[in-house]
Amino acid sequence: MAVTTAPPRPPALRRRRKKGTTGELPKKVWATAIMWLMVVVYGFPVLWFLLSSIKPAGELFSYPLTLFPENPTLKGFTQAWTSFDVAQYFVNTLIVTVAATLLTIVASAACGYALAKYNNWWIKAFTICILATTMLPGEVLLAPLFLVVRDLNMYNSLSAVVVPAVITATGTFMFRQFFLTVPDDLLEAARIDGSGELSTFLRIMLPLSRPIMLTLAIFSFQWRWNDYIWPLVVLNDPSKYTLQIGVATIVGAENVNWSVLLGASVLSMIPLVLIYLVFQKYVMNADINAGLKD
Amino acid sequence: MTSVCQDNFLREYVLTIDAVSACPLTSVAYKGCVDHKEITPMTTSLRRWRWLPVVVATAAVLTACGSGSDDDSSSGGGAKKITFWLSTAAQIQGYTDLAKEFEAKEGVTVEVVNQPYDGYQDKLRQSAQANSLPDVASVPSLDTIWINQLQDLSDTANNDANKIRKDLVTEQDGKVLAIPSDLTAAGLFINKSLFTKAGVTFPTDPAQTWTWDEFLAAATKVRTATGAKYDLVYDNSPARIRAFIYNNGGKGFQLGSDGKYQMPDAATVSALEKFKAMNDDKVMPKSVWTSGADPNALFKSGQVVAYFSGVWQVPDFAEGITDFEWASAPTPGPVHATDINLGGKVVAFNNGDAAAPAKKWVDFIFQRENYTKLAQANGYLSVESGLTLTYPFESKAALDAFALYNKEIELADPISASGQAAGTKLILEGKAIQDDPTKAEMAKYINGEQDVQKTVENIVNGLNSQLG
Repeated sequence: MAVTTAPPRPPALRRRRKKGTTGELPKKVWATAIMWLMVVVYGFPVLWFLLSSIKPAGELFSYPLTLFPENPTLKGFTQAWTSFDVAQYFVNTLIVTVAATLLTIVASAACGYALAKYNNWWIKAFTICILATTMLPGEVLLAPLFLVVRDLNMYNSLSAVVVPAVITATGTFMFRQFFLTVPDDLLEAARIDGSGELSTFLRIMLPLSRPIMLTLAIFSFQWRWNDYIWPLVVLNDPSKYTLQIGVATIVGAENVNWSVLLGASVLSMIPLVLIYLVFQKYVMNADINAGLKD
Repeated sequence: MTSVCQDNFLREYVLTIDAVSACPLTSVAYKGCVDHKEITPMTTSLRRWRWLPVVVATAAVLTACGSGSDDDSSSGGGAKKITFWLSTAAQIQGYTDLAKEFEAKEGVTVEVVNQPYDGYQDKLRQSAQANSLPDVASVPSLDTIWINQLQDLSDTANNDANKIRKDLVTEQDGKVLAIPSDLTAAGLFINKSLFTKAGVTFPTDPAQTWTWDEFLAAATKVRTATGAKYDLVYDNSPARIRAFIYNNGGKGFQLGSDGKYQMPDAATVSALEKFKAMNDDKVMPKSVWTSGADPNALFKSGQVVAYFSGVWQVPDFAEGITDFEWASAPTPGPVHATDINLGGKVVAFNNGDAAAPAKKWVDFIFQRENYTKLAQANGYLSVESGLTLTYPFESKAALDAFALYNKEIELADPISASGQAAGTKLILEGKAIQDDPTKAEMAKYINGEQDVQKTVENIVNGLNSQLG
């Protein structure tokens, strides 16, 4: 079979390849055009937002709408900077975000690993329990969660924002699904060679899951950075507030000071963008199967 | 360094696996073997880590306790420092100025904290549960959860020197629970440039106001002469539409003697019909009341002749409108009324040794000369009668607007304040309207999904269903 079918294959492949190269050019043009269209669709509002932040208040709603500011001003930024303690809130947000992200990764990786690799009836039940938490909206959990946090004496401390955020069903599931794709053979080989459970996890499984770790890190960072209602409810002392609470104070009951809000929003975005730029290569390369074949 | 080591370690294992899986027998036999082997070594090695969750939990609790006790010491600074919460986009300067004077006079620091409006009520509720309410606060409305923790402010409210309007304070069983920090009133803004361009005049004195029909006729004239898009935009709010109903002779949705909302009178129904007819995408854009378009932005674009909103827009317009001239115009009649509401309700909580300075701070705010400064700095309509206020606006339009609103409030029909009075009454009875159905039902009516009778019924039933 193999001998008879082998000879005609190379020419067929070659022909196909030739066809492919000529036919691929319009395809590539289309694909690139669509990509650029997406860039414009996504990028235009952001660009408008950034340009609007340097418009004076009087120009924001002028008709006809203009993209570029006629009299660029940084007043929105300076007003935003003075309307609340941006530096302090930024530090608080950073502490919360980094701590929560690290702990989330550790907890999710360990939990996801256990759920994927250990077979036990109660672990399966536990999996279902974790899944169930995703089926409740956050608002429902707010009151009971608040009581727990209060009774643990965490009210009005940054740990109250960090601790409840550590366990996320999404993160746990991301890791579980990943570790399911890691062959059990690898685990077995490690055990045969006398590696303990913890060192197997720390030295083999964790490094393997680096793409998931980074993906989750970015998600988690973003979630915690944008958290609003929970920090607002559990933090009482303004010196512990996070950036989003500060930004929200600009939105009043009856009207919104748009030029200041735009300035504050841009300020609160900058760190996230910087972090993305630094970790960009990991985000783009989030190659889920980690080069393992099974 | 460590990552390199781990990589090497990993590579070794991957190589081993490759070797193992190269064996043709693996798939079934080897896996079965794995399942069998899995249990014994894992359970024993897991047992070694049994204590780990306990340690982690203990550590978590201990650190939490540590930070918790820190907080206690900071807030337990005692009567030398009190906290004052409010929620405002811009009206805070007056309070921070007064706080400095208060500190100089009484030696008590007032920490003025601006809370976001979105979630402020939730935050107060949760703070009440955590026993960490502020010492003084300016709140949008009272809440049954913490109403029993309020101090009696009657000494301040009934002090004749202050001349605080008695009809505006919240009183229960002879105890004054809240004093409003300021008044707000609904009112009309016009694009003065468009009026000038079209050569149409408008009244400036609230005592000689126009009717809605006269105003709409004038606005249509201006719109056609100048090529503007719409006559009017109208805030999408249950409070603002009250003003329209009152102006047109209706009594609106009022509480009856049985404590329930009554079916409104015929004039209210016809006012709502008139309001719907105005939403024809010529007089008013439908989008504001049906799909949440921002009337403030529409007016600022200069494409709309007039905007019905309220006094809180004045500081925003003073800074945010530079392309045309705007002016406050008297609220149209025939009935001279508007919707008068309370800007914020100042309450003092009963927080141990901070209770006395908290009360002192409230009294300080409402002392006549201090309140004058506060109202001027924050751009408040006064709750103390007979104050002469000079607001610090540079814009002539803004100064005129404040003068006009102060006159409007004096002239307004008593019904103008009935909306907020009903709200206060319900709160004191332990009830509250959490979700006013007016906006949703009016949107359905304007969209032609239901007739006016059904709309009115749904609003009344929706309100009453929340009263329990």
